[in-house]
Amino acid sequence: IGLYNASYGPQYECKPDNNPWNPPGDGLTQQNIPFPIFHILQTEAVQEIVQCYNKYNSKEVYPLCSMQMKSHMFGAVDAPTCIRRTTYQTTLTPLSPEMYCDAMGGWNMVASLKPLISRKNKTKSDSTILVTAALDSRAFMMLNTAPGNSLATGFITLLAVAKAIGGISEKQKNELNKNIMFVLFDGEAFDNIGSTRTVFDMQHMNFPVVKLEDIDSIVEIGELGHVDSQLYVHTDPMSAALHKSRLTQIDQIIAEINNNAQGINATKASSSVGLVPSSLQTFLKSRNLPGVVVTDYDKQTKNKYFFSRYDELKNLNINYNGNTTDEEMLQLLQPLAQKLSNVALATAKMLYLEAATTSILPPEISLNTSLVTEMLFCYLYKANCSLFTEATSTNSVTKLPNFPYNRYVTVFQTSTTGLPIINNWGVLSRNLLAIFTGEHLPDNSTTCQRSLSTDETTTYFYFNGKLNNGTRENFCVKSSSFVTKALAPAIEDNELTSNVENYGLWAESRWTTTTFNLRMFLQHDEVNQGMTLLAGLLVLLVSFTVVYIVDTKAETLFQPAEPVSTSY
Amino acid sequence: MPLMVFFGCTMIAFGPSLAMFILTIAKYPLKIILLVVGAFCWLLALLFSALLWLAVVPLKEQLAFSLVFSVIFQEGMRYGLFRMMKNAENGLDDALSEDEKKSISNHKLSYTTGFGFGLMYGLFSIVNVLSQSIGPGSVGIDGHSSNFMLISAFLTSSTILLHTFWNVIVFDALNKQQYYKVITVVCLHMLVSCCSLLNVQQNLAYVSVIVSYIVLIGTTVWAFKAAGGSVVNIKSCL
Repeated sequence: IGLYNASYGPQYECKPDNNPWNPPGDGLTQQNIPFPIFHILQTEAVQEIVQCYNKYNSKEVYPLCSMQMKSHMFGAVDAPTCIRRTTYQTTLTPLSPEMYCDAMGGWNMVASLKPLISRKNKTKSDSTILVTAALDSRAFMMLNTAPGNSLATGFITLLAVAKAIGGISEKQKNELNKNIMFVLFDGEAFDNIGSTRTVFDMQHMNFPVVKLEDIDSIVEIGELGHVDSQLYVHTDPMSAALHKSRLTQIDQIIAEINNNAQGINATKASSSVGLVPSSLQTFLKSRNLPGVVVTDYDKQTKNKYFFSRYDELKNLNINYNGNTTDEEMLQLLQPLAQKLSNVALATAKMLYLEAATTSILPPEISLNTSLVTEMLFCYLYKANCSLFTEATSTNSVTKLPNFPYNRYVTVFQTSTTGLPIINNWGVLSRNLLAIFTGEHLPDNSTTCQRSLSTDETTTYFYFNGKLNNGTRENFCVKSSSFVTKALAPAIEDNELTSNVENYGLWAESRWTTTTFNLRMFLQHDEVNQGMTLLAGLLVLLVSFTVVYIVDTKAETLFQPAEPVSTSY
Repeated sequence: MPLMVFFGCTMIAFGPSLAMFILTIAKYPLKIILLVVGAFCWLLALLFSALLWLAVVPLKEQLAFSLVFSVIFQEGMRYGLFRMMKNAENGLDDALSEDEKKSISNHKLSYTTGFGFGLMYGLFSIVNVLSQSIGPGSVGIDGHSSNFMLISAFLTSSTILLHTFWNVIVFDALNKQQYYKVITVVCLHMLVSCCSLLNVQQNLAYVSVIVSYIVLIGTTVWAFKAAGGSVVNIKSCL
C-alpha cells in the first residue's frame, strides 16, 4: 500500500534492515490471526480466570480449569466477499436484510480559509495549499481505541494553525494568492482510507472545488506528541530530485518556519530513507507534487506506543491520577501545549507567506496557548469541557461524556436520505474548523437558519457560544467547509466496483449482543469419565440379570403363605 | 469425551428401570396403561408442589419448605391413586378377559403404577443434569463435589426403585388397613428426601447416597415380603 517499492532503489525495499519507522512495533495488527481475540474489561472476571488457573492448572493434574470462548461474527472470508454478500441480501430482502459486514470509513472534514464560490459560477480555480492531518486512530476492540495521543497532537496542531491563520480579516482572506484548505482525514489508520478517497474523488471530479491539479503543495502535520525544540520536515526524495524547483520550494518552507519560529528549530529529515508513512504518500502516488510532513522525529518515531492502546496521556509524560482536578490537568498539559503552539504559529506564518506571496506578516496571526491546552484537554482527557460545549450547535442533543472520545473510525454511515452521519469527535472537529476559519456573523438564530444555502461548499452554523452570566452567547458562523466521504473507492452507492482490485478495502463484521460468551469450568480426565461409563454398563447388566431371574421365578418367589385378601 | 459421562450416568439412573420395563411391562398393554396412570399421578403431585411454590413467595428460596410439601403431595397422590384403582376395580372386573386380569393380578398392579410413579420422578430429577453432562465442562469449579453427576444418577436410580416398592407396600397396607405401615413409608420417603438436601447445602452428598441405599435395601426386603415373598420361596427357587 505504501508509496515505495523495490523499483525505487534498494534502500526503499521493504526489508527489516532498512529503516524501520517504528522499531518497538511488532506488526501484530498487520498479521492474519486465525483465531478470535477476547478483551475482557471486567477486572473481576479477569481475576476469576487467573484464580481458577492458579488453583487447578499450575500442577497440571486433572481436573483442569478450562474455558470456552464463543465469538460468532457474521462476516466471513474477506472484506470484498463479505460486502458482496451483504449487497445481495439487501437486494433480495430490502426490508430486513441480513447484513454481514459494513465497509469501514467516515467523513473527511474540509474547511477553506478563502471563502469558496460555488462550482456553478466558477471560472478558474485557485491554486490551493492543503494542510492535512489524520483524525482517527487504530482500534481492533471497538470501545478501546488506541487513543493515539501522539497522532492526535497532529490534528490538534492543525486546528491551532487554523485558529492562528484564521484570525486575519475577510478582506485579507480574499486577497490571498493561493487558497489554504484544511483537511482532516478520517480512516487514515486503516490504509489511508480518507486520503485515498480524496485523491480518487479529485481525479473523478467528485471533490468540491479542488481538482488534483489545483493543489499547489501539501503540508501534513504528523506526530508531535514528543516534540521538544527540534522539528523535522519530511519530504519525498524521489519527487524532489525530479523537480529542482520543488526542492527550493521545500527549502523555502523550512526557512520560513525557522524565520518565524519561537523556541523551535526545523530541519529537513534524512532523505535517504524516503518519505515517512503519511497521507502525503497517497497523493504522491497519483501526482508528483511538492509536500512536506512535519513531525517530531527524524528516522524513527519517538512514540514507543504507535497505534497501541497504551498511547495514552501518560505516554506524553502527563502524569495524572484519579484525584487530578480539571485545573491541575490543564496545568499539566500546559508545557506540551506551549510547544505545539510554537509549531502551529510558525506553520501558520509560513502558510500565510506561501499563500500571500508577500514578506509582510499581518499582526492578526497569533495564537493563545490556552486554546491548545484546552483542545488537548477536550480531545484526550475529558470531552465534557467548555470548549466543546461552546463549539456545539444549538440544536445538537449530544451529551458530552466525561471521558475522551475514542477515535476509531468505525463503519461508514449515511442516513436513509443519504446525509452523512458523522461521529461525535468528527462533528466537533468540523465545528472547531468552521469557527476558526469561518466568518462570524452577527445574525441571530432565525437569520442564521434562514440563510442556509444549498451551496455544497458553504455551511452556516449556529453555536452555543461562551457562558456569560448564566446565558450562552450564541453565535453564527458562515464557513466554507464541507465533509467528503472517507470510504474506500472500491465502494460506490453501497456496491462494490471494479476498483476493489486497485484500492484497499476494510470491513467490520456485524455481530449481536449475544455473540460473545465466555464459560469457565473444570474438565476431568478420560480415566475418570471412563469409570463412569463402566459403572453405567455394570448397573445395566446387573439390572437385566436380576430382573430376568426374578421375573422368570415370580410364580414361586411371590407364592403367598396365605391367599391375598384382594384379587383383581 | 464428556459423552462417556452422559451415557454412564444415563445407564446408572435408568438401567434398572429399563430392565424392569422391557422384561416385565412392555409385553402387557394393560400394564403400559397403568404405568402411564402412575406417571400422570406423579405429575399431578408435581403440579401441586409447583403451585404451592409459586404461591408462597417468601419461601421460594427455601428448598426445605418446598421439599417437605412435595413429599406430602406425592404421598397424597399415592393415596389418590389407590382410591382410583379401587374404584376402577369393579369396572375392570367386567371388562377384562382372564388373560388381562392375570397380567395385573395380585401386586402386579401396585408394582406397575408405582413404577410409573417413580419413572416420572426419575425423568424429572435427572434430565437437567444429564443435558449438562454432555459437556464441555464438569462440576466442581466452585468447590462442589466433582462426583455430582454420578451421585445424582445413583440417587435417581434408587428413588425410582423406592417409589415402586413403596407403592407395593402402601397398596398392600391400605388393603389390609394396616395404617402404621403407610405412616412408616411416608416417614421413610421424608427421610430420603431430606437427606438429599445435603447434596446442595454441604459437601455431604455421600451421606444421602448411603442413607438412600440402606433404605432401599430395607424397603426391597419389606416389599418382597409384602408381595408374598419369603425365605422359603427363595430356597425353593434355588
